Amino acid sequence: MSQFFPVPRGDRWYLALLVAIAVVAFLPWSRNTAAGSLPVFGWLMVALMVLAPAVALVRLLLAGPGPSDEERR
Amino acid sequence: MTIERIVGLIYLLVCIGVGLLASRKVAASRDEYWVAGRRIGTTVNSLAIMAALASGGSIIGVMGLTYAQGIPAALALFTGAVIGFPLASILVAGPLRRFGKFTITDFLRYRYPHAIVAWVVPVLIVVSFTVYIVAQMKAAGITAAVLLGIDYETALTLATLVFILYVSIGGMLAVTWTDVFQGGLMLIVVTGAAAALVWQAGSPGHLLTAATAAAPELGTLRDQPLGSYLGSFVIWATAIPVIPHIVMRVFTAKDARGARMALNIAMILYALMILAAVFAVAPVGKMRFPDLADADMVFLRVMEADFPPFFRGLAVAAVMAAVMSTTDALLLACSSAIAHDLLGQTLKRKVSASAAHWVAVGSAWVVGLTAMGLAYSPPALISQFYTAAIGLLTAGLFVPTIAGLWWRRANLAGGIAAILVGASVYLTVQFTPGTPPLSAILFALPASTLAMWLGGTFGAQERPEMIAEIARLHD
Repeated sequence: MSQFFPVPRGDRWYLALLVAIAVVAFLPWSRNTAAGSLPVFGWLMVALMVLAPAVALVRLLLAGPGPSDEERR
Repeated sequence: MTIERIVGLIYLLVCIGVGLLASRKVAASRDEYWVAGRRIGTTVNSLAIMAALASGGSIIGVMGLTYAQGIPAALALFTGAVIGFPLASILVAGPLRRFGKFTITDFLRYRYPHAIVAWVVPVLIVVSFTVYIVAQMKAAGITAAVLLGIDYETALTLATLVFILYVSIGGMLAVTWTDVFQGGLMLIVVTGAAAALVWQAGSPGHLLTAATAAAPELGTLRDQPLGSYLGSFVIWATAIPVIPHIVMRVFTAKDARGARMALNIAMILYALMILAAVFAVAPVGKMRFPDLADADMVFLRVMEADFPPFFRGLAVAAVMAAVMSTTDALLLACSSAIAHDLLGQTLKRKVSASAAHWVAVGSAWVVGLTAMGLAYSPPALISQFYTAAIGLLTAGLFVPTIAGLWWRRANLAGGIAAILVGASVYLTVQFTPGTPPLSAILFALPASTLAMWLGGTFGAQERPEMIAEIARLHD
């Protein structure tokens, strides 16, 4: 038996994507390379701000309502 | 100033009225007072969560930080908060909602049943949230001083008395009702102001190009160490899943899915407001007022210079809303830490529901007035000030909470060690001379994780009943 309670596969991929973007954002290249009026770091932060909520909401809506907590009991 | 004052006054009276209305419903039940009867719908809860997080720091502070340290630094700090929402949604919202108590301390005390946990966690909450409240009060004070022409101390005192009054009498129900109104107001004012400024400039791109040409430092990563940017990002990303006034909102949801939906919608609203502030209002302020002595004044100066009196009145109400919607939630969390976590459980006092209610009311007043006293000497750059305080809470609570929910080997020894080591390392590094601002969390979280791992690996194994109970929270 795993030492951890399982995180749903979709959630794992979603979290991995967010962490990957964050890691790339904080690399020296992203901080030292300009794109338009901001460093790439700034645009990646904006991407995280927009992508994180959008993807999370779409995933929840696609998953459907499922059983309520009352029904689970 | 007449129109601004009338709008501001109407707003404050509405808040008091809501508190009085809610007080009739909450006095009879602890469930009603702390978690609004656990029947708050998703739309209402989304606005309430957004308003609880979108503090004076998010309106006054984000623009002050952008003005002083540039757009990338502000984005690093506030994107961390946005990322914290999916973490909270995935890692804690479902299991904690099914756990079904009142506070984060309830969970930690249940998972790690020991007097150290029962005392240290509420104390960490009260200390860090009192500092957080001080920053909010500065935002309220300078707003009223600039836009209403009242002196800082008077404005501070008035605002404090109003929000302590409605929190102490109305509990979570009053906080929820006012937060919905306040969240809507904040969104309208900040995005409305940003839209007007972008329209004047022609497009967001034009505005950004003009602002970074006039003030190149706005678009660059300033000479702060990487640790500061990364630290501010990590503090907020890890704070949202454990920060008590957000977690309490999870407990108010009708069910786990409702809690997750509300967190995600709140995140969208919050991101919208932050992007409007960072990419429109603050850059215009930087161009028009390049030499402000206090960077936190930039939003107020733009309002004063570019908008008519009625909109300025709304701006006063919006900042007050931002301050109050966070401060009321913080006060309620402090009040619950004292009245529910410390007095109600730890000391095992046999008190009636009515007596417990009055202890909660008294706690809100003590914390609120203490913070008001400290706010008479306000800090510089409020967003960094309260982020440092939130870092202490995160350092102590993040690892034991997440491990307690997801790691089968998490046990009493690991939980206690993670809390104590995380908080101690954070305080030690934070107050070590030469440490980059906000970077202490980068040492504290790994130390707390190591302590949890050592305790869980080499300490006594957790009881099977506890593991079964935690497994039930994931079903």
